[in-house]
Amino acid sequence: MTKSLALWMLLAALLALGLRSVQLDSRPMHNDEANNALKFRDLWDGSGYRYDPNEFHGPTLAYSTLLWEKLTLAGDFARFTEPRFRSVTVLFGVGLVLLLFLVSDGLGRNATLAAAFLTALSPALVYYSRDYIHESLFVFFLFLILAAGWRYSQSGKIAWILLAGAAIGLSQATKETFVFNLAAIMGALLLNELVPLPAPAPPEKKGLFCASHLAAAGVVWILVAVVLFSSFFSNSAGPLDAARTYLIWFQRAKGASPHIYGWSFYWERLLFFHRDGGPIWSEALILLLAVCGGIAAFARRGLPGASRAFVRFLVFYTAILALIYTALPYKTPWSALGFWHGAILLAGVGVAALAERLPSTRLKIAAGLVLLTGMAQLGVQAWQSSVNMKYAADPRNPWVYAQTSPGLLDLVDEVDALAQASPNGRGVYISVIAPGDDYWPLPWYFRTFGNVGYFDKVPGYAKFEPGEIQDAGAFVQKVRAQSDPVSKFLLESGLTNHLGAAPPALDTNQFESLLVSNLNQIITGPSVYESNRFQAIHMRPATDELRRQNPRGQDLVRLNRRLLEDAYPKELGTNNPPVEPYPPISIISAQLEPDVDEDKAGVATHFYELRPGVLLKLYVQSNLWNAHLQKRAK
Amino acid sequence: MIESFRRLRRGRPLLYLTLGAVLLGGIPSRAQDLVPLNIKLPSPAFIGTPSNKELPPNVEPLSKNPRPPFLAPAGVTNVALHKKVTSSATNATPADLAKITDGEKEATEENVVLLTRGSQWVQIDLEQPQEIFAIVVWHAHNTQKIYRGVVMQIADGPGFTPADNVRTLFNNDNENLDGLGAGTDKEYFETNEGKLIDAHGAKARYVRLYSNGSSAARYNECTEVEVHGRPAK
Repeated sequence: MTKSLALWMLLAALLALGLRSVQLDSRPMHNDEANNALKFRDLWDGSGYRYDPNEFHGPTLAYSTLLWEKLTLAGDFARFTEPRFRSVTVLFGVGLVLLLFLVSDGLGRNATLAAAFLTALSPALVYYSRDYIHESLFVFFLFLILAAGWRYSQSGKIAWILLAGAAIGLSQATKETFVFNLAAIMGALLLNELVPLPAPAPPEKKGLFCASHLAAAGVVWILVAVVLFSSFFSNSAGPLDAARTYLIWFQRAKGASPHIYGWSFYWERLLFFHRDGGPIWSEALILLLAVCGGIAAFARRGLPGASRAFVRFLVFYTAILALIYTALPYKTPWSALGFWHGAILLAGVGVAALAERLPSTRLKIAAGLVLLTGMAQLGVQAWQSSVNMKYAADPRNPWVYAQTSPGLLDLVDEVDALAQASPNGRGVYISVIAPGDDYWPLPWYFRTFGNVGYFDKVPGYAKFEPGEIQDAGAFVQKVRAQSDPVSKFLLESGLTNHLGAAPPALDTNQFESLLVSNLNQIITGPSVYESNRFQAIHMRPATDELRRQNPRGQDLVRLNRRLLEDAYPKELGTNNPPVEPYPPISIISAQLEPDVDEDKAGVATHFYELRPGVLLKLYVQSNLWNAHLQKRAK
Repeated sequence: MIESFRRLRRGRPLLYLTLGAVLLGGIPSRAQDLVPLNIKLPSPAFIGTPSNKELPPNVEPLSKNPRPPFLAPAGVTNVALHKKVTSSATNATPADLAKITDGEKEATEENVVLLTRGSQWVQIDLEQPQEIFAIVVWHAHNTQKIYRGVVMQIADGPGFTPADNVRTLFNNDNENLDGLGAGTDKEYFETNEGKLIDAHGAKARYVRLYSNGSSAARYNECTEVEVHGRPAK
């Protein structure tokens, strides 16, 4: 490697670092970032890490963060910031440029240089290097496999193949999808052997492979994976879970997921993405150059200064990987990075091939200008999509996906101000209530508050839920017999609607779910109480007391439920929930609004957007709200 | 991990104790030796990547800032307050419709007037020609919803015929559900701020607001309409 190449590469690395590290707080924490950050908290606080085969990918992100935070002498978790977390993935993003040093003799000088700048500038790579998720680590470890493998094939030194083995272990411990990359590597190696080079092929150094070296690399792979998945031998189930996870992901890939999309999902984002009112985004230049590089790898003239075998391997590897990810129904935009990085390497080759083969200097200058303009366009897009506040969290940006809306930070600020007005300060009680635990990244933003509870139902929720009815069959049978006024009333009110003639007509779960739905329809209506109807029913004292209060809203729902429970204690059971008060601050999903007791929740202040189309509403008890307003007026 | 969080959340007694402590915390302590209970609240349950719902291009994203003040000449008031309201919906009584101009904007059961499904309008007679600067409408901000086919018109006559000098101030009925022509304005989320339409001082006696159900239901709702103006000279 020449000194000038090293200097240019360092310049590309600096460019990559600049684009990746400026304004790392330009967008709020994503749901996944907040999950990762709070999972890391356990590790940081000494509670350790435990691999979860259901979600959240592998342990390398947490352990890399631990290493980085120890090295940079980070303090208390409460003081951690978004940029501190994101700087971990930035380092791996920059590392991707530096790894090119290892393959410079495979790609050739000019191709390496071009690939370095394209890696630095690619908007997709820049965006996800600034995201505290596993992707930039994953792409880094995958490239390390290829680079170390290439170095071994050229030198035969065992250290390189052991490094490649370790990199496989690290990529496995990063994302479960590493199997696709392994398959692509194997497929590319095979195709490289099977597809003949056009004659006359210039002689190339044959790769050196030794069976014992490969076996040793396999041992290193397993060792690294076991160490990481077992959380350094503290979780014996970890390695087994690392295998079990594929059953779960297999289901997800088949379609049991909200992330199912058609084949064009990645290509739209990479080549031409436009949403109403936003700019046009495109990294088509990279694909165009990659195609040039791919064609050059198979042309008779060969690739001066590069290994045609290595480039052909990259062509097969990238094509197989792109095909796999395009065909898989489960898609998230960051998953494009694996094959897109392959395309970037090939684009580097494409640049070198064009520079070599254009017949005249004039054409070369023109192509150079076009290339520089294209690279500048990539740089501008990278800045726009990642750093610019306008687009960093805007759905019109192709890489923004299920991203937290910046408006959520207003909610955080408001809660902060409310805490200042509260006599309990940051110890003020806060309830965050949303179905499906859809309140992230609030746990990250509320990490310094002492008393935050996370619920999926509003206080005082009294509707029936599947599984709560003691004996659904007996209940319906009793109602159908109409032997008492309450049963007659329930039958007239539609309790058995859609239930069919008898319980066996439906599957037990369907039967119970329909019954619950019909029951809830009744108890959320007017009061079911009538003195004649409930004359013979023995009411619990609390039911009678509630009845005398002539309740409304959720209290009426509770009364209706209690009345029915008292009428059918054996069949419905006697759920006896006491009335739960609303805390001083409640943040409630707009979906749960119909269940909220407005009189008790406090002042309904404002809706805040969690993500596009997902709203949260802030309720504050009036004494705290008034104190807050007074403080603000001062 | 998730399971343990779920168990915690299902652990209602813990919740009751916790929220009981909230109440206690809210009441000034009478005995000086009382100490706050140290109770652990349910922790957040970790979740995977949520779905990426893309809002249709015609929906205005929720503003992160409160609406800026609307500037109007001094002396402008809500000229619709307690004025007569009529509607195409046959289910609502005059007493129900009167709630639309009664000044009550909270989205409670008592305030929200339910109107039948499909394209329906409510109309306000301002009793005399008014110079209108802004119209603010609250359909129902009790839940997260977007009203469909919202069209606001003003006219000089009650029939809203071509002879009545009908002017359309707002139309987000992109699909022409109301049959008044496709509009280009954006749909919006209902919030407690209501939707403010700048009427630029247009002169009219009648205001009519169309809607065609919402993202939550096919029926229509209307909580309040304010017309900010002054008698036309």
